[in-house]
Amino acid sequence: MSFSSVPFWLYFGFLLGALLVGSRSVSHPWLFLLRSFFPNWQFYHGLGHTPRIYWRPAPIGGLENDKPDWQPLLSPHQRRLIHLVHNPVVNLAHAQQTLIDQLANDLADRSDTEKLHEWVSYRMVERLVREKILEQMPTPSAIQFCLCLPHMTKPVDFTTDIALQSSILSLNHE
Amino acid sequence: MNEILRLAIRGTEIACGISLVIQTLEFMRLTQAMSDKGVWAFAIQGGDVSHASQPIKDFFAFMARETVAQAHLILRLIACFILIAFGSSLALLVFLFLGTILILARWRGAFNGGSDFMTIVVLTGLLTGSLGTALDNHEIAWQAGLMYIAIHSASSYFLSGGVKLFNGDWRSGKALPLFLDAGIYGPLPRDSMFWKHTVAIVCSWAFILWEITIPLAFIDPRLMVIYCGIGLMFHFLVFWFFGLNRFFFAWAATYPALLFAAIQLA
Repeated sequence: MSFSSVPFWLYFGFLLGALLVGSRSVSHPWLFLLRSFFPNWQFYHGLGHTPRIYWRPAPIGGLENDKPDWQPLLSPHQRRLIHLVHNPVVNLAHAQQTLIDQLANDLADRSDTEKLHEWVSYRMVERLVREKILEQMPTPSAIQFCLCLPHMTKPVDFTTDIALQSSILSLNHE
Repeated sequence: MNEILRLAIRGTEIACGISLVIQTLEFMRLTQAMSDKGVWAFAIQGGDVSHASQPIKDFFAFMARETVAQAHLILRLIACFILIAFGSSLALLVFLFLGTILILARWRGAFNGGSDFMTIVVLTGLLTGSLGTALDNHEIAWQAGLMYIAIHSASSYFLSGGVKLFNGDWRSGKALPLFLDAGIYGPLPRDSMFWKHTVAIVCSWAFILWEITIPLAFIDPRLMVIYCGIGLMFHFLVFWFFGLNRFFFAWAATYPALLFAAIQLA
């Protein structure tokens, strides 16, 4: 490579500097929908909180002590080599996790929590919960779900990690 | 047009076409999630464009109709095969580019994160070249398009390695097993070798050094060939441990441009 490649090295130097300095975030509804135009390329950059949805059947008596344990909504998938070329189910699971991340982001960023039930992210996650549980439970019943933000270094602690707890939902109707 | 440029364009078209075919076939299997009863039903997801003007809302609502969405995917699949078999044209790339934006907007901006971003980058590069061909200034436009793809691809590795380098948990080998443990395929088995500190630290540093040294691969095209070979193995591992198959093809589609850029800079 010749001396004329100085801009090339300056560019990578600038990127390194930008990583050290950090950046401000900008938000707008259209930017959210068109964010594929603004990639940040920072994958798996650090250990943090991982939003997870848990659910439980609604207790009959309503007493805290009678409530069943929380269980994870999304279950692990089977790994197969063929998925390299065709992997719709696992990619859908990634998209579902992204939805849960978006709800966690909205909870952190938005101030209109009194309108939580109108948020697109909340409504989609609620529908996801219903869909997943109807797959698991033969007879629809009432359930409750929660959004937890456990840190990756620790197991989930339901006394401190719950960021959002739904009211009792009937699975018979939306 | 010189032979190297021609080969780089054709390589990018074919690799991008394959990547888009895989993505489109997967989208075709996921129409249930977009249906009226699905999680991504437009009755709910349409709220994302509630701030838009009425004609734009109507347009998104029309494109979200099940029959329209399915017809779009079939046309997209045909366009991908044309791209692979006959190469690009302005009309073809405008269709694929705008179609990608529409599909991603329907999935709330991104379906599969980084692979969507890189797909847009590659389509932008090809679109730039095709636009140049249409304006009769094709060689410079194609060079610019391929350089655009190469810069984004190199930046993606460099930044991904850089953030890990500046993160203590990655440098100490602590982060890797925890990310693997939180993967889509369930917790890492307790007897997995990645829990061993030595293995975790060696693997972490191998990734960091490989990613952050990409500028050096531009010194000699032969180095770039080796770099891309390791890149394919790296993306296969990402697929194997995280289920991110689309990343493999999205990044592979940038390798002809990386090789082209390395030859130009050498």
